[in-house]
Amino acid sequence: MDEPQSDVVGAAAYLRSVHGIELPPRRAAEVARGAARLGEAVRLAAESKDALSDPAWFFAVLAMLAADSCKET
Amino acid sequence: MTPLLADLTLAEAGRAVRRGEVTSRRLTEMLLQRIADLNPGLGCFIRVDAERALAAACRADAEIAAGHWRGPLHGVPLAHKDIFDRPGFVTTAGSRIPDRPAKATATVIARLDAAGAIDFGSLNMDEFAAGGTGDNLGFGRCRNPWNPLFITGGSSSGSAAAVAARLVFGSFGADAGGSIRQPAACCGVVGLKPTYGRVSRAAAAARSWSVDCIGPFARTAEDCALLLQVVAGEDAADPTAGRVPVPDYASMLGEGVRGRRIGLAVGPWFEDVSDEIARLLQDAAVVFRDLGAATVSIEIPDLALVTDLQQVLVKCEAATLHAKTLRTRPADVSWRVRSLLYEGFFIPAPRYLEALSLRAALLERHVREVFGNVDLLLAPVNSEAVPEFQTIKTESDAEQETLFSRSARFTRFANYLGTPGLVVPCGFTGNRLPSGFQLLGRPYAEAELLAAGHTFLQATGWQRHKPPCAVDD
Repeated sequence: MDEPQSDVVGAAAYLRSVHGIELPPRRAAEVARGAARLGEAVRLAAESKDALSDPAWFFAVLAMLAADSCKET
Repeated sequence: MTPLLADLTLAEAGRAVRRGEVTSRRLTEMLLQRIADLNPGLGCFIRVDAERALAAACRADAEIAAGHWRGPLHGVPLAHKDIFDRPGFVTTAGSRIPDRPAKATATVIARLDAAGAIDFGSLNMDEFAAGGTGDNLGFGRCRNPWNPLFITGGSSSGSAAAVAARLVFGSFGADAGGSIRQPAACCGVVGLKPTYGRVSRAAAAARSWSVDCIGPFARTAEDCALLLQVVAGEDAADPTAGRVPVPDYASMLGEGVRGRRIGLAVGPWFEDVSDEIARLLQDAAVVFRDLGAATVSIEIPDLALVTDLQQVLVKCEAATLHAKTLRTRPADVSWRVRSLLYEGFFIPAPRYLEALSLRAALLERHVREVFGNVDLLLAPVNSEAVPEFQTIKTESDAEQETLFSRSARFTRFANYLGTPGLVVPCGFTGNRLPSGFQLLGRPYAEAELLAAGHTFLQATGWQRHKPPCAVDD
């Protein structure tokens, strides 16, 4: 029960048992399906792009790509 | 006709106070009266600190008279989205749940205080910053000053509306998916979502740590430059605040757009805009060409993916932030907000980490493919004219999600990428409500964006149009 479930009964049970949150079963399943769509989009991108890096690198890249106006001061 | 003092820009008000042409106390009293007259109908403020503001104004006048002028914001009345901590006051984040006064001072507030700005209090917003209409069920609707039947956009609803209504000269809000840019466009003011990390988020209530950006609203790009100048830069209290040097924004406003290449965002993602919004964007492009810029059409890569990734970050982090509240006091959170929070509980940790781990590569690609070809990007903010409250159908969770996603279609990607965006008013739609475009840039390109926005407004004068509630009385 520690994996997100998207069927009507499983979604509500998962939310209750893992997060302590009550949601009607049909609504819980609807929410779970929306989350599954987002999760699948991310999974596919992570597989196909071969571009995973330490999340902290993002800050370095932001600074590295900074506009000229910030480099001239 | 003598112009209303309230019609002064922030820069003009600051200069007038410095020169002794008007006192900060006079400005403060005048605007407090406007707030007393207009706020009941507009719902911009959650809390007005009249006595505190008057005392601060008197201090500012005394300091300036004694020769101690702190800068362009000294003695200038402002107010801010209710996300910033100030000791002794409850930061509501647009919810009735928080009830403990803050102990710390948000870095943004501390820097504005040090600059001598007058803080009028806290401004209305969508509950927990999770919404895009300004329709707060706990504190009441924030209404559009151009027509109170229409939405302000959100979530920084009061920040945009109070500036448009001439209740303050400037304000700060925050943007995790469009929460500065949408209300700025809907209310006809300038709004800047800075680069992620340009402005400290210390002691500011979060919508989503990884994508939140704090930025200013004002009626001109020059005013936004003055506001950003005071708060930008590194902060020991916020390790995500970038150490990139802060340029002198106001001094660069005159650089204009001559010789710049401005990309016009095209492709399937941008086809779903109404004819009148498309026409306003085309008109803006013509103005930029007349000002000496070259305009070229450009497709932006990965928009659907990047928008999904932004949603994974926001949903997971917002679920984390509000998990305890949803467990213990679900009835005190409106169903609209609950409906936007639950999905985060169903997204596995590896998906969240993948969304973070893809960010550097996608930012590099975006900058290479977009800003390798153009200096700035011109894009819509909203796909349609500002809607009326009564036309917004959010009877179900699914409708709420659809509405929110549609309204933020053109804004969320910049939050994932961390890049800056400036909204500039550019005219009116058939319903007589304002509209604006966004100029997007590479990381830390706020100076370039502000210069382009300043030049555009100088040429067109859209910032001088006033909503009916601000017409001379």
